[in-house]
Amino acid sequence: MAFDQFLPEYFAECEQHLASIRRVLLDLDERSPARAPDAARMQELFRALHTLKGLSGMVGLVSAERLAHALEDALRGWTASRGPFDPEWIHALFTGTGLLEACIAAKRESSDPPPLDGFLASLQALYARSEDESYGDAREAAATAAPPDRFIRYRFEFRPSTDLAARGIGVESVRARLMELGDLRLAVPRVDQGGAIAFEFVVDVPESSTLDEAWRGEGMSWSRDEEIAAPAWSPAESDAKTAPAPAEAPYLAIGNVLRVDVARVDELMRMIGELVVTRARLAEALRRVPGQKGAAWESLTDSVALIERQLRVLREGVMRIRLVQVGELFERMRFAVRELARETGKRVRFEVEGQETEIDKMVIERMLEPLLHLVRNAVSHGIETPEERLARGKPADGRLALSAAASGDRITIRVSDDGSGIDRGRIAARAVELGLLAPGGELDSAALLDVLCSPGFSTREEADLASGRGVGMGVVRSTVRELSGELSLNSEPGRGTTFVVELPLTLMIVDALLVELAGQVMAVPQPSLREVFQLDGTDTTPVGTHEVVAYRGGVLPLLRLRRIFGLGGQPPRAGAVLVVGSAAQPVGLVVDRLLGLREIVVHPLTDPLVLLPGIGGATELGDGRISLVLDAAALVQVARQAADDEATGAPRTTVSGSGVRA
Amino acid sequence: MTEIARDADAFVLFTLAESTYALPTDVIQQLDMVGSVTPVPNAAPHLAGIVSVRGQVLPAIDLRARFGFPGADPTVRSRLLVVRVGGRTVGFIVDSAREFARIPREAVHAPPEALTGSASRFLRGVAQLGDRIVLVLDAARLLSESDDSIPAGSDAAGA
Repeated sequence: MAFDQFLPEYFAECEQHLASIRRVLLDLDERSPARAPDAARMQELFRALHTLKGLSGMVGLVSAERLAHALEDALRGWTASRGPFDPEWIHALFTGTGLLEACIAAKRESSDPPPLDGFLASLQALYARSEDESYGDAREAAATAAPPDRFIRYRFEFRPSTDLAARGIGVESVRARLMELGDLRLAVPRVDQGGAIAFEFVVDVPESSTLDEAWRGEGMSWSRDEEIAAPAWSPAESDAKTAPAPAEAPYLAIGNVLRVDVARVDELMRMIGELVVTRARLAEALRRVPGQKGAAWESLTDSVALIERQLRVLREGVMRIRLVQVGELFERMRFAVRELARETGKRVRFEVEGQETEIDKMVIERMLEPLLHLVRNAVSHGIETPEERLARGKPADGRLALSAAASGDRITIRVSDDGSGIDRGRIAARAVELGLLAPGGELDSAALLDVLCSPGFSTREEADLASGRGVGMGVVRSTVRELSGELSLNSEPGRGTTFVVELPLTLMIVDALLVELAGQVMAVPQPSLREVFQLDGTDTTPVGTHEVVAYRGGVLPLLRLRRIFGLGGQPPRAGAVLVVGSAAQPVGLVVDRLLGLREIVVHPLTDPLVLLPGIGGATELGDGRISLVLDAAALVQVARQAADDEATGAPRTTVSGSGVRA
Repeated sequence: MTEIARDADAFVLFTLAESTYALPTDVIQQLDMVGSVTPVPNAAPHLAGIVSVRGQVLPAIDLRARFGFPGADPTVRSRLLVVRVGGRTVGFIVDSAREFARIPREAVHAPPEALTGSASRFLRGVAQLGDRIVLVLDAARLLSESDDSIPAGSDAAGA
């Protein structure tokens, strides 16, 4: 499909617009229904829906287009009627936004969109009702208001050049120009067949606007695309005058924000990793140079030391590209809290702190479900009903606070409520029942968490609607651990519970093949693997002290990792071969068994005690145990070295620094 | 705080092969049960392996092996002392650790000449605590000396 290439851009844009819809809805929800919503907020809502409709149409996502259209229509209906903006309306918008999100998520995951008919019908009913309720004069006012502008869709192309840049005309100034002209729908860079860069923009321009022909001399060209229906929103004048919109900073300053595919950043990280290894080899080569004296020598070693420091700075810089603010994640929680409070009849005051704290994009994505679980738990099990709270001398509104703070290279996220706290006695009783705790045993915070996270543990309440749909506490903890973080808990009876999640700021994530070697699980990053095949134990041929196996019309030298690592024991007759190294000189690493592919988080090992050739780092597989991450390239190097030394009778040397992966 | 305690430093006491040792509390980050230790091939003999402590992966040194004592299987009383010195964080596996003590400065004497075990080069001094002899360790020396046995050429700390 022609528009598939826009999908990543589409999803990113959608995320942005959904975020702004959520923000406006929460804002509307918090105001008193008696007050008219402020015009700027409504305008924002309207625009976001309208844009989502347009974007969804362009990528052919009919469900989202239809839904956004219906929501937009309903909103227009309400505007015309000037009826009260009551909770039912807000609820409908909340539900609709949730569905819209689900439609987009379904597209992303190539699954079926959620059913919409029920919701669309109820929206229709609501719409009809507000039509009935609307007052005659309001209708009249709407009818006599200036006719809404029609929009015309234009497709613009901009070809930057050095001449234009010298005149101050670049893609950013063109973009700003077009945003002023109308609604910017799409902006994509492309490279044409000649290798020249061009930018394509799709803009909905009000019919009354005229395009400046002088732009044609400034690298721009355009064509009329299609006429589209006009959004009928026109803010009520009185609103605009009495309640001027606060001069809010735009949510995303488009001018200086770059949207980058994470894969490109990962590629950069990989290159830096290679550079680190190369530098280590250089240092090692220098160490072997005889003489090692004089000004030239010193300048050489100084430069190597400098490169090391610069590489570290470079690595940190690239890692920072992956950081995003945690605020958006928190807003999603606010959304969930609101819905859940409605379902459970609780009253919850939701507070956030430290939204500007930055954390790795991938950590945020992985933490969404676990945090949702903690937040849902807090609302459904922690915070009491308003009646219970009043009876206990607490304010009727429960408090649920989410906070984030960074310290050094870690960030801490806290989810705390002022509810009833965890009933240790009850949990202990259940734990004894399940054989997790000796009768009469006590539960401190750590043990309490262990029990809550143990597989199969659930109390009666755990099965209710709120928690039944999430992930369990066990999954929360293992996700946090896989991200190299730690979960802890502090609960006081009658006063509330706080869950603390500590996470690293940035992560290095790779796909890795897990293998077994002498009973140990080890991980080999997939990018270093050329091929993998099984060895049945009879097809190898000894050559001197080594073994080879027939491979692609030639022979493949084999290295037994058990031998390289000095691991004794009887290797299994069969094994598996990981083909690594260059295409010209492949080498087969023999392991006992293949366990499967998995995405892992690599912890660099930096202590001199564990800087060892062939060990690239460590990873936690979620059960609290650490596995080594192997550095295939360095292993090959080690093996070659060993072979050379064997041949020349030289003492065994090691490849230095190759244990480090950026 | 009593008068005597004013010139006293705080220590964590731990045992290793029936002797009592002390490390100053200010280098100790935490005391943990010894969880699962993943062995690292080709590492120094006293490196028990790597462990995960609050999301960080740390090398764990078998202090028995470091001091040249015979090895012992971990028991329920075995502890991991997480020590931070000179920018490095390392775990020490010891037989047990469950006491804190304040030792007056003047009670710490230079190690006697006669003490020549392999642990002696890590000693800061010896103190009498009640009827016990406590061997006070120098944390910095413990760590810097622990570099002795790593392979030459591991100077490349990379990034």
